[in-house]
Amino acid sequence: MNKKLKVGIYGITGCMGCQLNILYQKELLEILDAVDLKSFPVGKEYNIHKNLDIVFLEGVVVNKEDLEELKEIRKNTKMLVAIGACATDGCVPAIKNFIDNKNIELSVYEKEELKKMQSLDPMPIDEFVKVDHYIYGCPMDKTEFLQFMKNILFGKAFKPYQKPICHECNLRERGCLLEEGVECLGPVTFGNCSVMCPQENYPCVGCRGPYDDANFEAYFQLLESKGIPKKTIFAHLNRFAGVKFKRMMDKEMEERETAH
Amino acid sequence: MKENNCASQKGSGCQCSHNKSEPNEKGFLLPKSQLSNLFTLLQEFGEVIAPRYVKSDEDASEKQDEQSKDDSNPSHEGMFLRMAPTENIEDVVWEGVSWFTSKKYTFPAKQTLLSFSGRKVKKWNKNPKKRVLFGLRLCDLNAFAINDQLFLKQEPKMPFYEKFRKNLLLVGFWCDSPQDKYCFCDSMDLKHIYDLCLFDKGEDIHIKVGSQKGEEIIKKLALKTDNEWREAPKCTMQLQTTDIKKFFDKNEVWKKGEKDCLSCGDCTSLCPTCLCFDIEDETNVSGTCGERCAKWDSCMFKDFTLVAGGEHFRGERIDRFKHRIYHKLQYFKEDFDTSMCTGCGRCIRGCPTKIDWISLINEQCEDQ
Repeated sequence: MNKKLKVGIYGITGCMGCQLNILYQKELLEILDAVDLKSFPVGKEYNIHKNLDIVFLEGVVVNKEDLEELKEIRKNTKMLVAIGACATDGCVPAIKNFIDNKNIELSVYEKEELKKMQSLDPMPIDEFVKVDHYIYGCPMDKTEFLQFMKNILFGKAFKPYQKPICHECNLRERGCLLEEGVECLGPVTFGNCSVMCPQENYPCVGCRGPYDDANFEAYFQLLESKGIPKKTIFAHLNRFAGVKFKRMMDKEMEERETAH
Repeated sequence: MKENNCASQKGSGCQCSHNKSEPNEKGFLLPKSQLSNLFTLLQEFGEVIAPRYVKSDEDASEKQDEQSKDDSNPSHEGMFLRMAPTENIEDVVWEGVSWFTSKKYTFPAKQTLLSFSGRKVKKWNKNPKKRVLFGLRLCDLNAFAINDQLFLKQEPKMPFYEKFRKNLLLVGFWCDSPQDKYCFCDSMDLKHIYDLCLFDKGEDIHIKVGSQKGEEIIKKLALKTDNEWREAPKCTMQLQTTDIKKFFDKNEVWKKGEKDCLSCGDCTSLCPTCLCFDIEDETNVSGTCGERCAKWDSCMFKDFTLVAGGEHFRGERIDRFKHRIYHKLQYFKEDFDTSMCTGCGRCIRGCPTKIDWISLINEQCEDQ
C-alpha cells in the first residue's frame, strides 16, 4: 500500500478553477483511492509538502513570492505537471506583457505608494522551472486530466493530444464556423476539449493554446481575406496564450532568418 | 507533345466511365405522386437517412419539431447539408452535395472493437440498425465500393464494417447538373454502384435498379419499365490526369498548395474514402474494465506517423500534403487498380483556405 503515488496539488496566482475542476471530477473518489494525496491546500487541512512524486500546479508567476513557491515545489517533486492555461501559456494575466505597462498598476490602484508591489511580467511556469507535462485549457480539461491520471497509474507514457480543434468539430459534424464567416481560432488551437464552444455556436477562443503545427501565415491570410484585421486576430491569440504564441512566432522568424 | 499524352490518358479513362447507361440495368418509371409509397417501402426496410439541413444527426430526430417552431438560429442550421434520419419525404433536400459524408454509417467516428471486464474479453458483436441511405450522389456511392475493397475484399475483413455495410440499402440521386463548382467526378472513373438510383424526369421519376436488394423493393410497386437515360453532366472542374507519379519531386508546385494548408484535417475528415484510424483503450481508473476503440485519425496531423523514439515519417507539412493526394490517386491504384478519389470535391469545398490541388496537378500536366 505504501507504493501509492504521492501527489500534491498546488496553485500560485490564478482563479483556482483548475483545482476546483479536480474536485469536480466524477471519478474523484476512484482517483483518491488509487493515489496518496499528500498535499492539497485547497481541499484539505493537513498537508505534507516534501518528497512528492507528482505535483499538479495551476497559476501564473506574477511576483517574487510566486517564483519562490514555484521553485520550492519543483524541488520537492519528481514530476511537475502544469495544469490550465495560466501555468501552460500565461492565460489572461499575461496580456499585461503585450500592452504598454508603465502605468498599469497606477491605473488599477490609483495610489503612488502601491507602486512598490513590484510585480514581475506574468509568465507561464516553464519560463522558470522544468515542466514535465502540460494539461491545457481554461480551465483545465477534466477529461484530459483523467486521461493523464490513468496513464500515470497504469505506468504508460502520456501522449499529449496533438490535433487541432477542427478535427473534433468534424467528428461531431459541427460544420466549420470559419465557413460561416466567424473568426474561430480552431485551426491554430489544440483540440481535445470536446469542442464545447463551437457546439454551442460560439467560436473557439483558443484557451488551449496554439497548436504546435499551426500554419499561422495561412491562417492570417485566410482571416484577412474575410475582412478581419490582423490586429483583431492578434488580440484573440494573445487572450489566452500570448506568451506561447510570441515564442512560436519568434522561433519561426529565427528559422526563416537562418534559412536565408 | 506531352500535353496530348495527358489528354489521351483521360480519354481512355472515359470509355468505361459512368457517362453511359449500363445495358443490363432495369429502369422503371415512378409517378411523382407515388413517391411517398416508395418512401414508405424504404422505411419498412430500415431507418431512412437523407440529406437535410439540420444541426447534427444525433439531434435531428428529437429536435426536429422544436426547430421548426423556434427558428432561433437559422444560419447555423441552414449552412451545412448533412445526412440525417428523415421521417417525411418532404424534408429531403434534392439539390446539392452533403457537406459531410455518409462514411460514418459504415465506420463511425468512434467504434468499439472489444470490451473487457476483469480477464474476460468480449468482441464487439452488435447488430447495427438497418438503414437506407437515401439521396447519395454517384461519388458517394462509389466511395462505398472503394471502402469495400479495403475492408471486405481482402483478408482479414473488418468485422464491424461488414456488419454495418450488410445492413445498408443505397439509394442514389443521379446528378442532373454538376452540384457545385467543386465537383470533378467526370474526371474519375466511376461505376454504377447502387441498389436503386433516382432520376428526375419532370412528371415522373426514373428509377434504376442496380441490385437484387433493390429489385425486391421495386417489385412491390408494380411500375412501368422505362429505358430512357440521361448522361452525367460535365463538371466545371476537370482533373487532367490521374497519373501523377512523375510529378512527385516537383515540390515547387506542391508548395503552392502547401503554404495555404492549415493542417486542420478537414479534407480527410470530409473525404468519403478516408478511413484511417487510431486505436485507443478507454478504461476506468482502476483499469479493471474498459473498451478498445477505433477512432478516426488523419494523415494531415504530425502525430499520425509518430513512432517510438519520437520520430515522424512525415514531419514536414509538404510531405503530408502530398501524401494525401498520392494516396488517393497513386498508391491505392497500385494495389487495387482503381483510384481512391471519387471526385466529390469535398476536400476543396470543406478546406478553410480552399486549396485547389486539382489545378496544381493540371498546371504540372501543362508544363510537361
